[in-house]
Amino acid sequence: VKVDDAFQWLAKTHTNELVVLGLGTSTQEWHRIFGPDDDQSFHMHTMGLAGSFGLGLAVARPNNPVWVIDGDGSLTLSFGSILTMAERQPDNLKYVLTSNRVYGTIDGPNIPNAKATDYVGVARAAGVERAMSVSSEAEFEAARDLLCSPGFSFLVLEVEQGAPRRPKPLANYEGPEIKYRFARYLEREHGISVLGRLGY
Amino acid sequence: VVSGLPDDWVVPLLSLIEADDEMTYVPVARESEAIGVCAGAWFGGARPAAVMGIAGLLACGHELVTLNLAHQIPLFVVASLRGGLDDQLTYQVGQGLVAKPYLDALGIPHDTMSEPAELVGLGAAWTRATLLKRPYVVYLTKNLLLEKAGAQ
Repeated sequence: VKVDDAFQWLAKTHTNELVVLGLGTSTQEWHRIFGPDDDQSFHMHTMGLAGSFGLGLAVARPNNPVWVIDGDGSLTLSFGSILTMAERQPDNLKYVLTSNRVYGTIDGPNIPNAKATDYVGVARAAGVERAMSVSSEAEFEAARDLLCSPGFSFLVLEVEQGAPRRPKPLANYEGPEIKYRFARYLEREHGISVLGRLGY
Repeated sequence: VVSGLPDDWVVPLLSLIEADDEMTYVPVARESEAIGVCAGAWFGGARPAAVMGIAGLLACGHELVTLNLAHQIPLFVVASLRGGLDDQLTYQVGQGLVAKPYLDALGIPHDTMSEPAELVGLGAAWTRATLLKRPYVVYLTKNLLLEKAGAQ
């Protein structure tokens, strides 16, 4: 599927989930739709850590749905995190992998074993039953069921290589403000204490 | 929420944590994952801790810098302090040599606890991580981590 179509579909399916975005295309395309001021999402600047971050968030907030939207360039840096997620499988966590088989953010060198890796096969072999890949728009409906029903899900969106070349919707803020925006969103919308009584 | 990966000294501590109903233990396949798990859990309102051996902590530099330090996200880490005079394994000695300079270079404050009476300071160390808005590492020595350390 086209990158645009995959993210437009995710955006249409998205409601109240907390969203953790992997570095690069995941953040870029999400921000293109929702704008960089979307405080319901946390965009990672560390490759390979979105799944782990989402797992920690899901474990700490078991009643809040959490989506991780990651790229396969990032996942391969922390491939063992599939096992970590597979062991716990929180009902409220959905891991969405946009797979283009290249390091898209740096213009496309192949990731290791690019042509052969079956991510869904790996997840299933690790014990994740709710795993599927989407390679055409016709499969979006089945994928929606996976995303919108309880149970840990591992969804692979097989997207075309090379996101369209166009200006990146860069956020005009960085690290600490990313933290405060997401933390204040959680405090405001979910009534929890993240920053403590002083509020910083 | 406690997330970690053991070395041989940290095994007994992680076993206690895993058996404790008041803690949620998330085992990871590589220590850097624990950095991410703890950050996510912190945003979820938990009071997380990462527990690992020094080898794992040395492998977390990129995550500590680009996640915790760059975003000012607090993190409490308990790690084994390998390579001291209580540890005569060749490869651990090498790690022990760099354990503290490594954290100093990253600008990450740390303490070393070697006596049971010092453990009362663990809570204050967690609070210090939140006040400083950065990682805070407590190294524990062999005699604290291994019950029968004296006999080994």
